[in-house]
Amino acid sequence: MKKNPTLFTALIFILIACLLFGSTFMIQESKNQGNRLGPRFFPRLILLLIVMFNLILAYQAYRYPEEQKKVKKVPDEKRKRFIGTIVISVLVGFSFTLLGGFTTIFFFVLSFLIIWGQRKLKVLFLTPTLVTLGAFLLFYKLLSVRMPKGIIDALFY
Amino acid sequence: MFELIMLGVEAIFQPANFLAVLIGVVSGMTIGALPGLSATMGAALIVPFTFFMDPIPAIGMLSALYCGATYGGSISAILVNTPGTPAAAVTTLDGYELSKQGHAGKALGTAVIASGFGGLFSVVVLIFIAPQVANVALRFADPEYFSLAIFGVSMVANISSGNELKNMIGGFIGIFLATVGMDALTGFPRFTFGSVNMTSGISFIPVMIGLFAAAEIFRQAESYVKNDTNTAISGLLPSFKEIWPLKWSILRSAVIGTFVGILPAEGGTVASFIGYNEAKRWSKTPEKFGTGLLEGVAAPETANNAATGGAMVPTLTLGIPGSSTTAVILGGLMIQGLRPGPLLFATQPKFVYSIFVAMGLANILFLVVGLVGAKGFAQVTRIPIYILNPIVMVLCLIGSYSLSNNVADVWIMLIAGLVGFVIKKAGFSPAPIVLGLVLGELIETSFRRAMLIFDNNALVFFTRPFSAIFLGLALVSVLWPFIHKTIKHHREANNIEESF
Repeated sequence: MKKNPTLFTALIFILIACLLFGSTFMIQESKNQGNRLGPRFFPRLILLLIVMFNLILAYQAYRYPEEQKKVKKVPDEKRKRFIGTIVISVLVGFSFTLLGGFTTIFFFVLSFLIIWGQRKLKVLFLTPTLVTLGAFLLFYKLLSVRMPKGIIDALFY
Repeated sequence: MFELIMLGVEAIFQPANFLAVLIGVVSGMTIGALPGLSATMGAALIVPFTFFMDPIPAIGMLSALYCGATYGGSISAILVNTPGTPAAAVTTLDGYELSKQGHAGKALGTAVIASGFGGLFSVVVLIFIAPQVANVALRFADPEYFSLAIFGVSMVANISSGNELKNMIGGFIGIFLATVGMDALTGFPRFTFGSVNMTSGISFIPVMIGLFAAAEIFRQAESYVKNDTNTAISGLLPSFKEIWPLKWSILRSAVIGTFVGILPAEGGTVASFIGYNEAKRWSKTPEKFGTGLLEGVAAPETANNAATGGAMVPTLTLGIPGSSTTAVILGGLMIQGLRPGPLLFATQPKFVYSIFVAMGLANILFLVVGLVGAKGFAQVTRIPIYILNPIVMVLCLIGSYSLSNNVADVWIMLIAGLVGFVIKKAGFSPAPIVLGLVLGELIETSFRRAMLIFDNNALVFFTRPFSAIFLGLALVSVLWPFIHKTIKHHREANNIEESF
């Protein structure tokens, strides 16, 4: 399978930069700023440069596609592991405040081990417990980081 | 100067500060020895711990980690043919060959001695050069700072590996991200889209953690393959007779590494490649390189550790990171409320010299720890990836959160991780983004202030000598990869013609 990720990325960057350029019109500017450069000027300049360089990159990627690397097909097992890792990482963002910081850590490590193919019960039990305990002692007790308590953590401390 | 060094010695040998440096060295060596965890990633993961410390132990620990991790990369390069850090990639060439021949002990011993010498050499240069650079930089005003920061960003074209154009785009994306939040001059919000969390801007610590650490875990989830590792250390340490003939190679690499490190945005990786190539070029037996020569281990290891001290010169004196790891250290300095630059030398001399001493001490400590505990660090490479990665991810989560006890920073880290993974797939490097993000505010405010002071006269950037020099250097550094390619193609074409 041969793809052109560079061309794709360059086009995405151009699209995002154009949208952001459009949103610069929403930035407030002082009415009596005279000929001073306002807060819109610099982001616009940078966005124009991003568009310009990406246009060059897109042209290069389109004109010389042979320089693009062939994208290997990712085996099913690794693809599942990758998707699983992404999903649990995103879920962490939600459960951090909902369930509590340390509960999230426990379940995150447990899910991570399962997704990465670990099946030994001893490892599945000990690793999340020790990592959570270590994080609690180091961050909560020693460094006084106020982790979100959520529904579950609040029951314990 | 001697009094200031003694002040630094006195500060660093306080038990708490000494312990911070020791922890920095040991954790740096451990992180460096683990393939997949780089010095930059280690520093990004450690920064959150430093919120709770005083400036001297905090930055001392980060600097020590930088030195320790740069050396630590050679452990796995020699033992398992997988460089622990990118800067140790060249070390695999001869280091692993020596290991296969049963001389792993000699290779590790040579690496630690060469690294220690390179690091100490660069610290001495740092102590002498940095105050002079800071004195000159005291005369800089907004136009010079703008041009200097532009020069720093322009160097990203050559940062790490990959396409120069992609590196430039990454640098501009970083600069753009720095414009998010309240405008520093007028106070008007920009790109906040009504979110209160965004008014203070995108904090670079979660971005760094995401781009360097989380993205790496996502990458490993997709592409990690278990390697059989042989971590048994065989062979004795190198004797004096074996090390002494390497003296010129080590000295040359120390000079090269320090010089390359001083250049903004160049780091240990470039230094180690040049150090190795120069050792090969000056050698009477260049054909033996790659077959297991101690010189092939000593040269790159001296150069990459010499780059650590060199990289601290622009970081501390000008506020321009000398490498991606020093960009993280710069972030650590800002969190401590310290603005790196020439004024730091004038207002906080004790702090500055304490950092110099901390780096010197770190190089001595990893020399001792490396020689005594090589076997222990070799075992680190055997930690299973399925145990290591969730721990790293937990550090990413808590590290981002603890910055301001805000879940928004966790989201920024996760998004940065995903973006980092995607752009890496497309051949972009995360380092230019971080560099752009760190320097973005300096570039914008110094540019706009200069335009304000000099009545919107852009010529001021070209008529002031230092500013013109920096802009000239920026132009050369942007064009250099293309000039270099053209010269190379021209030479190759000539060679083909001559062969006919």
